[in-house]
Amino acid sequence: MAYLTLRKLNKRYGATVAVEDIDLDVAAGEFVALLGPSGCGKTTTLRMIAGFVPPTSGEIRIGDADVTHLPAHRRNVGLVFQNYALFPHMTVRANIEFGLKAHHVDSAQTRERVRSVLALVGLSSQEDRYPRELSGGQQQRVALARVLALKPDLLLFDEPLSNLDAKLRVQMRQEIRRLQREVGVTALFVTHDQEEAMTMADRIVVLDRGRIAQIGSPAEIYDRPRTRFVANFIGISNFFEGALFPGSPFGLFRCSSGLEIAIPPEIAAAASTAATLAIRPEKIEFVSAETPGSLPGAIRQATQLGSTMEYLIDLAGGDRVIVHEQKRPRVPVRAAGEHVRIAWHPADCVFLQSEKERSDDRV
Amino acid sequence: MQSWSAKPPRSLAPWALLAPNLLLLLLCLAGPLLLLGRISLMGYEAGHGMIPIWQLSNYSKFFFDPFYRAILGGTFLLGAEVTALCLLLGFPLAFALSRARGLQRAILYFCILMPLLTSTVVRTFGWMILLGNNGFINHTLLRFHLIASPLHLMYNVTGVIIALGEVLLPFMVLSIDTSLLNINPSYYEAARNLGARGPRIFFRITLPLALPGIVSGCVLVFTGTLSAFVTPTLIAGARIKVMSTIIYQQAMALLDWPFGSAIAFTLLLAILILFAATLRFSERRRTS
Repeated sequence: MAYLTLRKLNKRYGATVAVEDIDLDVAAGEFVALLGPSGCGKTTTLRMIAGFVPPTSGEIRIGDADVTHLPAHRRNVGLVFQNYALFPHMTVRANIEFGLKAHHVDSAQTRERVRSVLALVGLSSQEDRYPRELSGGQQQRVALARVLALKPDLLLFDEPLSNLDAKLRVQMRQEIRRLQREVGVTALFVTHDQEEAMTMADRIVVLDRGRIAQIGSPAEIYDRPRTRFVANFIGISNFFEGALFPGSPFGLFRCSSGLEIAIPPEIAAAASTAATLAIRPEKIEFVSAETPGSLPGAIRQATQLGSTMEYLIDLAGGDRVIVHEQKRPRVPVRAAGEHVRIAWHPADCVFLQSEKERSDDRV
Repeated sequence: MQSWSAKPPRSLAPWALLAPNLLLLLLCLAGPLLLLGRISLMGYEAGHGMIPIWQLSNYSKFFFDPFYRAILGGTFLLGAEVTALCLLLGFPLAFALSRARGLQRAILYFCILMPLLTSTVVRTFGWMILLGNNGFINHTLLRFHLIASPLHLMYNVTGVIIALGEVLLPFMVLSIDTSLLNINPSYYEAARNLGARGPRIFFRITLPLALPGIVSGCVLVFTGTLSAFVTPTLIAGARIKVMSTIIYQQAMALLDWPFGSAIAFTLLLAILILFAATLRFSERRRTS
């Protein structure tokens, strides 16, 4: 059963479309990431759910209630801000008590809730400190404790980790996930960091120019991207523009450069004639000359990525592909200028919806 | 900035740049003040003027004579009244100004600054025309039978409060406006998200965070009132005595320079103490 439901949600500012026809169902207890580049409408969507921005049209439902027109202070939705927005003139305790007092929670229960949320985030000894006396990570925890004290129906995160340093960010990802599971609250997490979305979320909603490009589990989004935008925004991909070669028994894709690529027949049957084919750099292997169907090329550039090497390869037909190869013991890295042959498994090819169709139906 | 803090500047360039200003201040402010301090400790004989005997009797006369103590109290009361008026009128104005944008803000800003763009004397005569027994205000109110007899707005404290309130209001408004603009808008959103509504947000978030601006605005208005001379003189005439008018009276009419200087020094000291207290208050808020 869907807990949070967005139906045909739209936001326009004059002629500018910020959010267009967002449909989303989030199950109770689910952790969903809204992922996209800046200006994709992810923060606007979040702010509409929090009640700070009125939608131009559409519906927002939380549980059984239609909250589309409910003022912000009457939605029981906890928002963790990018800058935490802790009240600077109040101690940690006063920050947490603020919401409880606004909800007229009695003083005995207020004390108890403050104590329990501070224990939950591991800041029990810091309640008399002011926000400026705390580290970024601690401020983050206070911001979380402050909304959790109200037992919210829904937790919203607006890029909450972007102000932390890299190490702490990774640590806080797990911390936030642990807390969300422990409390069992449904959460929506806005981020532009694909790694954050991949590691934290049960499901990812990829937004592109105000629209949903794809919804799926991290694995689905990575392995089966539906559009070129998704394939390129999450990780990197090699793209081949071309068409299906008709009358071939096993499925053959002919690129505009003349290159011919074998594809699995079930995909060949489903795909339209003109299409884009994508292949992830780590799915491509270096093979010996005898391997049937392998493609000859020369390494143009070799780049160290740490545990992997990135090779830029010019294929004989003029196409250029990126290959990622894991470094292995006793296997020397390849150098620029080396002649190589590459191949991949047909099942690792992904057919993408044409971008043109998509941009056409926008107009 | 980095290079400055990395090693202390050896060069004398900053001092050389400050020198003309420092010299001017030393000559035209510190010097006369020292001189005034010396004079305040001298004796006085009627018809004779200042006589060079070192003594403290000018100060003891001021503090022990009930007449002068009443003037000191009256001046401070006037300061408090003008400050209260400016705060009452200024806060809503500053609140509106801080929320206005673009052209609306520019127009509002200009209107608020207007009293400062007029000469004190012209502005005060303007008030005399408005406030007099046959002035515009009384004339209008009588005409529409809203009052039976003219309100006494001139030659009393009421008029002084109104006229000083007008000219000192911009200091209050601009000071509060600055601190309101410094409040991060996400605090308001966080407060709403936590379930708070207008009044709670105002009293628990807006007001405490605007307090530094309110305090500095009050200090500016209060000290401005204490040191005002033209307005109380013209509007209240000889009836109301404040510190600045009796300083003038002592020094210029009675030629009792030592006593005038002692009153001036007392006023200066009172203002300095007030400033120091406010500074400490805002420092403590910042470091607590």
